[in-house]
Amino acid sequence: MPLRDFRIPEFDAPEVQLPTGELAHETTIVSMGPQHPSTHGVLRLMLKLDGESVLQVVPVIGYLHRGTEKIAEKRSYAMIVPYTDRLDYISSMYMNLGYVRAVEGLLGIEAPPRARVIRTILGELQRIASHLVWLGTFGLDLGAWTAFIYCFRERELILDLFEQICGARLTYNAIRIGGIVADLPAGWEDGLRAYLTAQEQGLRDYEGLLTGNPVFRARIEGIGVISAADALNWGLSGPSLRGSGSTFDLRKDDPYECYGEVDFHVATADSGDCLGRYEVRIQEMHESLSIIRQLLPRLQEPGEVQTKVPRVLKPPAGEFYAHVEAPRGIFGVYVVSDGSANPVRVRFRSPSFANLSALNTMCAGMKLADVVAILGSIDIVLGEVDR
Amino acid sequence: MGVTGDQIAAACDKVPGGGYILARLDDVLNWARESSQWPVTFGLACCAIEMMATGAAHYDQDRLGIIYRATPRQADLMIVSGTVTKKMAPVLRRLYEQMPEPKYVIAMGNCASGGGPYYYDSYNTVRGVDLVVPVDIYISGCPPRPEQLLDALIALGQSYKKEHALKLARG
Amino acid sequence: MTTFAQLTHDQRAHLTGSEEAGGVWCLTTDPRKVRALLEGLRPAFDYPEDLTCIDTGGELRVFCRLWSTAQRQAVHVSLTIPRSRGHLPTASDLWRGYEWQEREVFDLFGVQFDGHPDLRRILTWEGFPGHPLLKDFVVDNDDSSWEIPEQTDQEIIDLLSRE
Repeated sequence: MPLRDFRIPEFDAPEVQLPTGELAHETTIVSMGPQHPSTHGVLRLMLKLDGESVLQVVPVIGYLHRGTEKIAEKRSYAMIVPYTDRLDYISSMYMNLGYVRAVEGLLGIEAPPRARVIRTILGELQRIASHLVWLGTFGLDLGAWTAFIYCFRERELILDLFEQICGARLTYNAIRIGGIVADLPAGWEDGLRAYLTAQEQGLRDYEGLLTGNPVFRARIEGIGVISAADALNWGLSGPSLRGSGSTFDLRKDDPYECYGEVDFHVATADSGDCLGRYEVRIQEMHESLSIIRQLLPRLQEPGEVQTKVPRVLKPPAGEFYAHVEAPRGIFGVYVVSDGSANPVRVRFRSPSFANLSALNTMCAGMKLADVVAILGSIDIVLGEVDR
Repeated sequence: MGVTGDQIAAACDKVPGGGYILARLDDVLNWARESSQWPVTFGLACCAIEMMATGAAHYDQDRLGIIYRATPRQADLMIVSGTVTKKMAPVLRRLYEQMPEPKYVIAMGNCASGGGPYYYDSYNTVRGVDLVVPVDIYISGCPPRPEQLLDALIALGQSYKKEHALKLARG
Repeated sequence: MTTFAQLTHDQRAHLTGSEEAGGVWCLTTDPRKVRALLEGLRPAFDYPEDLTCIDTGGELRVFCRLWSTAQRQAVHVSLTIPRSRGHLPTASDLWRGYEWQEREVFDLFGVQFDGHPDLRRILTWEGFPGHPLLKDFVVDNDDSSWEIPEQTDQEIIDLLSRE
């Protein structure tokens, strides 16, 4: 097929007038992205600067808008599960879980107990894997290359565990309506135990590299402060909200799967800056390891992993809203059915979308280099921002 | 590939006068290009995470001389890793045009190759990046495994051998 | 702590219907009363969880979900508006989080929010033809007619040039 012809739009920034005399109050408009190493994908930021100080940040999104919600209206309920994988591709398992829980709510069914235990373990493994990608790239943004290599070392171990269950490294489609794709393969638990030991050492390694590092701390301490009240008002969720001192976590506040049956502590920090968000995610990884350890004995109990679900799903007319605490915050799925095989509307409430909307508030009064740190600390994934 | 410093030294020793080696300039240039492919850092979607994994500890792309550059002006290869949308297509074309000759494009994954799962019913997806920029290598998979990306990069490096590097540099 | 009965009693002037389904409080209202209802809900429901729209074929249903962090309770507010030239008062001054959500509903469904500070398209681009999530927006699955759209940054430049 021939290449399409088109005109490339020019970026027409207003002409910069060089100041004569006074050097103060000269504003410049800078376009950052969509191809920029620190925008984590295809985000574009339009920055209004006074020298190095940021006056205003306008995020421009939609460069990865694939129309998932429109596509979902033309697919059957089971066919939508793989599309959810590709929303937040760093925590696909949780995207599956959110959607599947919405459809299960619509059908009025529940996964068997063993499937719920496995789902919880997979979810927490996914949370660690997602936070590892965040930690690696956050370090990378601030000039710490080594942590990236260390984080991806342990992440590969998690991906190996996932691969044994569903055969995929990134887009799992493992959590299905009414259960999970298959029971655990033989020897999986031993692999999990070996991973847990390696991860504990890994966490000590990363903290040794970053937490006490004065260069790293200087870049994130007191940067991008947002108060808990503001954060709630802006709809922030997940570690970005808990870094401001709020304890809002759906795993505690509206428990699902096995979270009501395990004992864990909601990680928070009071500072509300990039360091606070960093500390919350590091603590969350420790908590996730503890949750997995508590659930390990329950993997011994045999049982079904899939309830009977009709081959062609036709949920009764109605609607259901399910929300889960994904690694980035509250992932909500709203499904509306009219009784046919295709949904009328599937809505994905993505945490990164809300977290990104507060970027301008967090960047007020900061320097240009801090924007990169703040953006890294709220951990966005463009796949779910744009959907 | 496969020529070590020791082997070159041993070969040079056999040449009368020593220290000289005769080769076609094209072969030398192509050998250099093959061993230092610099892709532009350009992550679009899911495949970009696998691209990152290829560059990280386990798969260690650096050992093949593949180092990501943050600007298209220093890159000779673009890995289109993910879904290209209509909003993104002009940006993609501009990046391609900013790359110096000779330049290559790898379409990584089903979306970049032909729209993938977003081919039907999506109003904003470009159905294959080959509508926007010319593509040299397509990789299937959603997303492809890091091994597949490494295979494609090695295959691209091998393909340089057939090219007339001097002529390409003149454009 | 507010109970469902108490809430529906307090807000009865602004409601057209209410029910409690599966632990969620579902309220229905109409475009003229919605602003007063949301103002009444604001003190208790501090978290703007979701705002979206459903094209039921006949008319558009705007749906919003709020969460109370103190009470751990969700409330759904929904209302219907006509398909064309539907407009609603904005809620983005009550919950800042709705600023982008309303932009998204405007972009994908064409619902106007009166009083919104910056109602621009968000996911598609300036000059996108139509509102893609409406049921009568037909996606062309044949790409022979496909063209790369012209895009400009004019709206953003204008926004940033404002004092």
